[in-house]
Parts: sequence; C-alpha cells; structure tokens
Amino acid sequence: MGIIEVRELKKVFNGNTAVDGVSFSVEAGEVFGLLGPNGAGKSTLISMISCLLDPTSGDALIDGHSVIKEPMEVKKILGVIPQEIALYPTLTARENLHFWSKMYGLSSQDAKKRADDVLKIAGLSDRADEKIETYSGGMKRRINIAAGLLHKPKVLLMDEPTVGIDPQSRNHILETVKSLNKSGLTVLYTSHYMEEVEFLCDRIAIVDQGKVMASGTQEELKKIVGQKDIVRIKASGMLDKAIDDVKRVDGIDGATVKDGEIDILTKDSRKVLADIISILNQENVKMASVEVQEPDLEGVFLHLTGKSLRD
Amino acid sequence: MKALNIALKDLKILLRDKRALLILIAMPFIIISILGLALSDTFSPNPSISVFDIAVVDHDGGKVAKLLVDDTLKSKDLKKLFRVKDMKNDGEAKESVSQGDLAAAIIIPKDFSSQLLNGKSSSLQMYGDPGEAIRAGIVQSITTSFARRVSAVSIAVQTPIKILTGEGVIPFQEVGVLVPSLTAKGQQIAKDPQIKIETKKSKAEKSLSAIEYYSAGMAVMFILFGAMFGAFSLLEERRNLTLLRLISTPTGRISILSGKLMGIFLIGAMQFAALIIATRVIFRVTWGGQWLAVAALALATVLAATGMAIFIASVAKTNRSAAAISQIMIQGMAALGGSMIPLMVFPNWMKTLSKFTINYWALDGFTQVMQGKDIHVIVVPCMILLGFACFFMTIGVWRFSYE
Repeated sequence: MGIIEVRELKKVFNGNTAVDGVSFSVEAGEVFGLLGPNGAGKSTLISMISCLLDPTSGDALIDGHSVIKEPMEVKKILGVIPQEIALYPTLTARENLHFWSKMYGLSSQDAKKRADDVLKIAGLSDRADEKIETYSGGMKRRINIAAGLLHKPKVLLMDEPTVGIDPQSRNHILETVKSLNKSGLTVLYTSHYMEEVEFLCDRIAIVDQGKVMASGTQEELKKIVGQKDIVRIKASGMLDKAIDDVKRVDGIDGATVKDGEIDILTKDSRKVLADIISILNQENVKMASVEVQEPDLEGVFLHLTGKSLRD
Repeated sequence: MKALNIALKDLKILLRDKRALLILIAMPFIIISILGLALSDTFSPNPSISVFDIAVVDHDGGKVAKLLVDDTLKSKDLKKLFRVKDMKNDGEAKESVSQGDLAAAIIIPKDFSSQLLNGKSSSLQMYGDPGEAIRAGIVQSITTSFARRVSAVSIAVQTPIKILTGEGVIPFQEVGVLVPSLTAKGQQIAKDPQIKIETKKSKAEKSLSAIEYYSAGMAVMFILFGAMFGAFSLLEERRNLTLLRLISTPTGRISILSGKLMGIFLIGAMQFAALIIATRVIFRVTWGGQWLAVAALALATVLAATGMAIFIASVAKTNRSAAAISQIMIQGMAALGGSMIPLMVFPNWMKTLSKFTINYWALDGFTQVMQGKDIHVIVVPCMILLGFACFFMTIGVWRFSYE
C-alpha cells in the first residue's frame, strides 16, 4: 500500500461532478504529479485529501489514516501548500511561521527553531523580520511553502505552487521540492505546466473533467500516444480558422492552438507536413518556426482529450 | 492553548492597524470630550443658567411697585439669576426683548400700587423672548408668585382698614399711617417665604455630569465598533484563506472559532480598560468607584459585542456588507439605547424600544453604579447583556461558513 491511497474519491457540487471516482496510489518517497488544465478537478481532489472538503463518496488513506475517519491524524503528517498565499500580511515572515508552528502543536522553543530552519530552506533568513506585505510574489510563495514544512510532514501536498511568479522564484521552488524529496519527503504536486511536472515527478496522473485519464511514468504515458509525432508550429494570423482546416487533413489525430502555438498530433509527420504548411499559407498564417518532436506530455494530453493543457 | 495563540495573534495584528486604533480608542475619547463639555449644563444638578438681563418699566413708583422691583426682583438672591435694568419706555423695553437683548420686560402700570392698596385689582404686563423660554419662564414665575402674595396681602390689609374706619375707631386721615404699618406687615408676608428652588436628592445618589454620562455612553458605543472590527477579522481570515489553512492544521474548528472570539473579546476588554483609565486620569471620572461592578458590566458588554461580531460575520459575505450591517446595528443601538441622547428625554414608548439594545442595559448598569447605588443593581443588566451574547453567538456560530 502506498503512503497515499486514493480510492474512488468523488465530489459533487449542486449536481456538478467536480471529481468523478478518482483512484491512484503514491509510494513513499515519490513525487507524484497531477497534470491537467484549470478546472480539471485537481484542487478539489487536493482539498478532499487534505480534509478541507468532505468527499461525496470514496476515501483516501494517508499513511494508513482515513481522511474521513481520522482527519486529525492525517493533518499531523500532511503538509498543505495552498494555491493562494495564505499568510498574515501585517505580520513578519518569522511571526507567521512561529504562529503556524504553534498551530501544528510545536512548543515555543521548537517553533522558534523550526521557523529558522524553514526560513533557510526558503532562502529568506535575512528578510525574516520584514512584514509579508513588503515581499514580492515569489518571496511570498516561498514563505507559503515554508509554512507547510514546519511540522516535518511525511507527505507534502502542493497545489500549483508556482502560479503567477517570476522564473527565478519558480526555479527556486522547483529546486527546493527536488531537494526535499531527496531527503525522503513524499510530494503530491498539481500543475498545468508540463515542464514542471516533467522536471519533478516520478509518476504522473493526467486529469481532466474530474477523471484520471491516464497515469504512469513519463515514458509510460508517452507510449499511450504510440509512435506519433508532434508538429509544433509557432505562428500568427487567423489560427483558429486555419486549425479547423488542418484537422481535416488525413493522418492528423488532433490539433490545438494556444498563445500563438499550433500543436498537431500525427502518426507520420513526413506525410502531412506539406499539406499543413499549404493550408497555413492559404490562410495567410505567418509561421515563425516549425518543429517536429516526439510526443511530450502536452501531446499525451492532446491525444487523450483533444484539448491543450493550457485551455 | 491554540485558541489563545489565535487570540494573541489577532491582538498583535490589531495593534499594528493604526486606523482601527484611531477608531476604537482615540475617537471615543474625542467624542466624550466634546459631548461632555458641551452638555455639562444640561446634566448639572444646579443648572448654572448664565446671568441674564430683564427690564422693568415702572410707571407707578408706589409702595407695591417698589416691593416688586427693589425688594423682590433686585434682591440679593435673584441677582444670581438676572440683572434688572430700569427703563422709562414701554416701546424701548419691548424692542429690546424682540432684539434678544433682554429675556423679559415687566411693565408696571400707573396707579398699580394704589389700586392694590385700595382693594382693587391691577395687572402687570410681561414681555418674554420666545427663544429664551426657560429664562422668561423664571421671570414669569417670580412675578406671578409675587402677584399672588400681594393679592392675599391686599385683602388682609383692606379688611382691617375698612373695619377700623367703618367703626369710626380710627379717623380716615390716619389710615395713611396705619396702612404703612400694615403694609410693612404685608411686605414681611410677601417676602417670606422666599421663592426657592429646591433640589431634593436622596442621600445615596449623586447626579451624573455630562462627562460621566458620555464616558459610559461612548465607551459602550465604541465597544460595538470593536465588534465590527471583529467581524472584519473573521471575514479577512476567510478571504485570505488563512482560515482554510488553519483548518488544514491539526486544530479543531471549535478551537479556531473559540480563538477568534477570544481575540475579539480581549480586544474589547482592553479597549474598555483604556477608555476607563483615560477618562479617570484626564476627566476625573470615578465610574462610581465600585471597580468590581464596573469590571463585571464592562466584561458583560464586551461579551455581547463579541456575539455581535460573529453574528455579523455569519450574515455578511464581504467586508463591505459587514460594514453596512455593522453601521445599521451600531448606530441604531447607540441612538436608541442612550449612548447619543440621554434616555431621560425620550418619550415612554421609545424608552420601551430602548430595552432591545445592548446600549440601554449597559448604560443602565453603569449610570446606577456611577450614581453610587449598591452593587446588586448590576445583576439584571449583566444577565441581559449575557443574554444578548448567547443569542448572537448561537446564531453566529450556527451560520458561520468557513469557506
């Protein structure tokens, strides 16, 4: 049995099914990714696992403790890093961490020591006595993460921890997660950024519309796509109209366009490339670059759902 | 213990909020000063209406007129109330009253004295400034009282004169001698008893000054503002997602909510203590000197306000709606409950409505304690304030949403 066992978790809000009977298992010491676009149900899933939301049905076990029957035991071993910054802006970083330590049941002495420890992990020891409201977004995120590590949890739940921050802070966070994992911490990491999940995760579950579409290692997931290619074209112009025409080309298994990038999934890029470029030229699309790649997780998602991860 | 940590955290956050401190501590103090000093006369047990001016136009100059003017209106006792100007002209006197220079003018007609001494009636005219109803009323009362006594004396004097002359005992030309002596006796009667304003007080009770009243009134009102900030704190905790973070820790929801309420209570108690100390030191407000009673009332009031805080947080979804609901409740209770206008001026039906406010019961307790009554007078107000606390907290805790 894994340190996290999710069994047929379901959540229905006013007739809308946000999480639809999800099951997966996470081994101790693993970094497990939940990859899916916004609205896929990742945050709802994390909320149920962290005992913030009652499931409609199903259960999850954290190190053998049920989230429904033993929530307090679960909370003692779980560190939750919420998607939004959940800190007190007019308190300093140190004061925030000291307070959260006390909420995790640490003594005053231990709270002080742990606050110093996690400030080092966050790389913000020299700014510990400044108010959170004076911090940049990236710095706030780092303290947000640090607050989830105070009680030395066995499992860390991280819900899109890098949203809206600068690349330097994002890299710092990803390196921190890697480092924490190396010291034995199990991490359940949700994101809609393929690069993060590819960098961090040992195994990944692809989530869409409340369901796990597929799960496994990156290689296992890519094999789902089979021997297909991703043709990735950076372009500008009437892309939406052009993509409808591209999809009709024989041998195209799927195509999406987002933020000036067209992704086309095809069994054999050699056979379709000429047709694709011809169509784009006819639609007066200006192409900046054309690449043919092996399928990545974006391609896997496209194959499974017909949509882009960034939708 | 976790609840206490939450409470202390909230206290720390509030002490860094300059705007909140201004509203909760500085504002009540400023308003107590203004209202207390401005309305000090209204509350004074010996209202010191400032000395005002009246005029007398004496067309008579006779004995009775002199009795009125010299011995009554210009007496040493009444000089504390008004100054008498002698005027020669009715029109001038009336004009001065109309202009507001005089509170009243008394016109003594010609033959006033002789008419009265001969057993006939006469009348005085008095003009009063409608804008100075109290002052004009005082002059009218004094004059009316004098007139009644003169009427009684006049009958008493005339009767023996008629009897004496009718009997032929005293020759008529000697009445002039007799009348003065009788009139002297009449003067004595007219002078005695003097018009006195008596204030009857019970031995154990003292009247409250405006500063004392408004120290209590404004303290209670601004404790309710503390409730508003308490509601904001709950809603901010929810909006900032720190409430959800608290729930994700091994801290029970009861501990979390208890901690928040404890914080609101602590802040209210400190606020009250600060106002009591400040009014004691600067305005010498003793608060009755029974500190146990004052403390019990203060804590009961703060508990009621704490209940109000969770109630507001449970019905409002945003800080803006919480502010709107708070203002309606606080201003309504303050106005109706006596924090702004003393209850003694309310009509009876409004006094009944007042009893549905926190302010009424808190002020009822504080004013009685400040008047020097026994400690047991706080029992009913405290019980009712605790009732308010239970009512608001029950609804608030039941309705409060953590998300």
